[in-house]
Amino acid sequence: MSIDTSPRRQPVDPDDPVDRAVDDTADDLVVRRPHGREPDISVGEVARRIYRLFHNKRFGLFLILAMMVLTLLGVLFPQAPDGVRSDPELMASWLETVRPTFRGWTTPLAVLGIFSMFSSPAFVTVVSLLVLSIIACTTHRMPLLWQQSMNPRVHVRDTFFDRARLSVAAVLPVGRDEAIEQVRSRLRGRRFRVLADETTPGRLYADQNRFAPVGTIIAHTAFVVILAGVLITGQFGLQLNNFPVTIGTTRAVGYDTGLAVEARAFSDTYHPDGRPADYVSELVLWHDGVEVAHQDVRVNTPLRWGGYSVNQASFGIAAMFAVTDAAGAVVHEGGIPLQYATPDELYSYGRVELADRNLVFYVITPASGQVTPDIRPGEAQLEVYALDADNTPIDTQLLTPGATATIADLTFTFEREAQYTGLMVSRDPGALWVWIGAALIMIGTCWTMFLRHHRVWTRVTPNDDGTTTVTFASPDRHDSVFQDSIRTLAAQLADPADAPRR
Amino acid sequence: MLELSRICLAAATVLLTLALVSNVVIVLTRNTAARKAAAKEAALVGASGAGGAAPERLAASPAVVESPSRGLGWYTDRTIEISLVLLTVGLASRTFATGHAPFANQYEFACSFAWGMTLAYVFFNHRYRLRTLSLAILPLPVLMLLYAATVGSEAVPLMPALDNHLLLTLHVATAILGYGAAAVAFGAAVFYLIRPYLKLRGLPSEELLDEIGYRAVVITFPMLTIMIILGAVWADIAWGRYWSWDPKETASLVTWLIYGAYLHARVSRGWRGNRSAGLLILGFVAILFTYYGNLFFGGLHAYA
Ligand code: HEM
Repeated sequence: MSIDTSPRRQPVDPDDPVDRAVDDTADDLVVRRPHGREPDISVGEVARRIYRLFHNKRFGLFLILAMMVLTLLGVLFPQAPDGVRSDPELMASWLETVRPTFRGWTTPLAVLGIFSMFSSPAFVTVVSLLVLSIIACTTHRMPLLWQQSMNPRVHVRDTFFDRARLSVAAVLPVGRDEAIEQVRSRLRGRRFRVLADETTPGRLYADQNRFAPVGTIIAHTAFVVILAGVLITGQFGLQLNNFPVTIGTTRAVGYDTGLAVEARAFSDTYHPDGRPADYVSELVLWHDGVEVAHQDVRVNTPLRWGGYSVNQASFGIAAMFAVTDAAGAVVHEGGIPLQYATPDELYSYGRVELADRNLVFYVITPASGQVTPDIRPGEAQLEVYALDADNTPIDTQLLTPGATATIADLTFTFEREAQYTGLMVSRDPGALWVWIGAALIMIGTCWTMFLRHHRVWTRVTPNDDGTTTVTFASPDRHDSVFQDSIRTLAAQLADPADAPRR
Repeated sequence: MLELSRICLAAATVLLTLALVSNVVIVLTRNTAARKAAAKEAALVGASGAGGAAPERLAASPAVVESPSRGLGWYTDRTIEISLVLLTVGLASRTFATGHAPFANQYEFACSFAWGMTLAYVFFNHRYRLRTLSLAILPLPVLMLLYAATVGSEAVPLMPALDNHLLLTLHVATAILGYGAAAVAFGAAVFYLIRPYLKLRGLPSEELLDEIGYRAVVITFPMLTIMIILGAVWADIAWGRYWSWDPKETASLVTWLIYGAYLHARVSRGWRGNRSAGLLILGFVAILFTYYGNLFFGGLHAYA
């Protein structure tokens, strides 16, 4: 066996079957510490080790699996809704709703972040490490992949032809030079790029789809871009999932947006079996007192303006109430969406806080379609509580439309029933990046998966009887279709008249 | 039209069941004739035994084995193809009758899922001769069709949130293609894991099973990627946000991560082989969980 010396040093991938089968330099990757050095470790070495950990495939795999397990926990366990998580009081009362299920485990699970998995420290840590790992992996592989497509390893050792996963030999009834020419033209005919091995005459390297591995770079970068977009949304976005506006009123969005939404009209239509077919709100969007948009908004037709999006989510009954103090000044006026349901779903209610009076009041009506003994259709029950007191109301009164009640020095007037439209208001500055990343990850995965980099090396050996043996070798796994096509090619070369075409 | 659709789907169920039974008989009684039918499989088994051996010699010998003669196996394969045609006609006629692609309720989705699995089976069978694997794969569409038969097959109009035909169609179509291929990967993984304990002749080699599993994921993974992204586009239009950690959406992310892990497991030392195959099985379980999940959890996707 001859010992070939590789003409140039190339990056080596210890896991690439070619690099393993072709070149022993893979062993050089094992870092050996020279003897007699100080046992102290340099900063650069620490950085190198961290980098090596992060581009290690098994570490990457571990992180993907960790993210998978945490995500699964987030599916299996109920998650506290958006607005609730950030408010300790709301969170505490939300936890009470799951306590009957999880009993003594409720508090430990909550501490572990199981009920707010996707903002929990564990999840955020794993995803951040995954991002670092992807960046390290990608930068680590980039030169290698570049090399493989632009400057592939043309030369292989002799033993490679015996050891490769696919190794097929064909005997051609022609001389050496003619055989090389035939191999070359056959491969070119199948759209292979063919390169001659300059160091060893009679050897060829051929490949197809040499830019296929670039797809993995795109896919990995895309995942990072998507997460960056999600991060931007989380930091700078606005998301109001529950923004009810009573028809005929205008409601300010708040959060320094300068926006207000006016709901002019609402209509809902139903299928004969009672399921909703469509619901439409006629909305006007105001910005700093100027009308900027006016549109019918349906479930799949949001209103979009200036980076904001107003979506139709739900609808229901509202109660128009006016509240005045003893001097006649208006304390509250407008629609109160009865958007909450009691646990038995018999009643709908709305809640209004009058913080500067230390009061909160509830308006309760029978839920749509429910008949209740204490509140008749058309009536509303008013309950007024002190904000900081316990659960006993200061007073409770039943009101018919037009009636008033005086409680805690305030006059409450139930003007009439109205409808409200439940909207969602959002602004999502990260979305652009998410969509760019999404496009890239689709392109990247399809590119990698549907185009494969096929490589084959050939060796030509003249025989004593004037014929020539051509050996094809390829190390690539998982490709019996490609291997078959190389076998067919070899068969065609051996006997052009007889072999089947593929 | 709806009646035609029901008849086609019922006929497909019967034919697929027959094909499955027939394949069980063939695999368990593999005799000379059956071995001939599996000739291509065998050829691949032999060919993949690489490592150390001298190159295969080819001199004027055909590399590709001729197609098998018309034994029971041949008729079984055709039966499965006819089932696929029937399923296609059934779903197409239902689409005409209802005016929307057949993805609006559990019944329609179950039939479409069965169609996807049958399509993937026929596609991979053409390439790889899946006779043995069919014992693990074909029960899946059969069970799915039987399940469909137990839920109401009435045509229902779409909910307002679903009323976006193109996106709905693409979103669910990619899911069905991906899930269908995942069933093939599942079958390959099952046989990969039980192969050492089976005393059957004509089993595909471990290497071939590994390849079939990988090849199926090559379809599943991009399809899942596209499905999740189209779902996000749709959610952005319908609900104003592209991702809301809704249980079904999150479950599909779990599935995607499992297949992503599989792709990386294959190239990580210590994770090739059994562990990768385990991930393929886990992935399919996750698909079923995602699909049946809304029977357990509510969420925005409660209608589908
Ligand atoms: C969830 C995030 C990730 C996604 C979506 C992703 C996606 C992909 C895809 C689609 C492939 C192509 C697989 C194939 O051709 O068979 C791939 C391969 C690869 N990934 Fe990732 N990846 C992710 C995370 C990572 C991480 C964290 C690492 C590094 C530790 C990594 C390292 C690799 C490597 C080295 C390959 C090449 C495998 C080969 O040579 O065939 N990936 N990845």
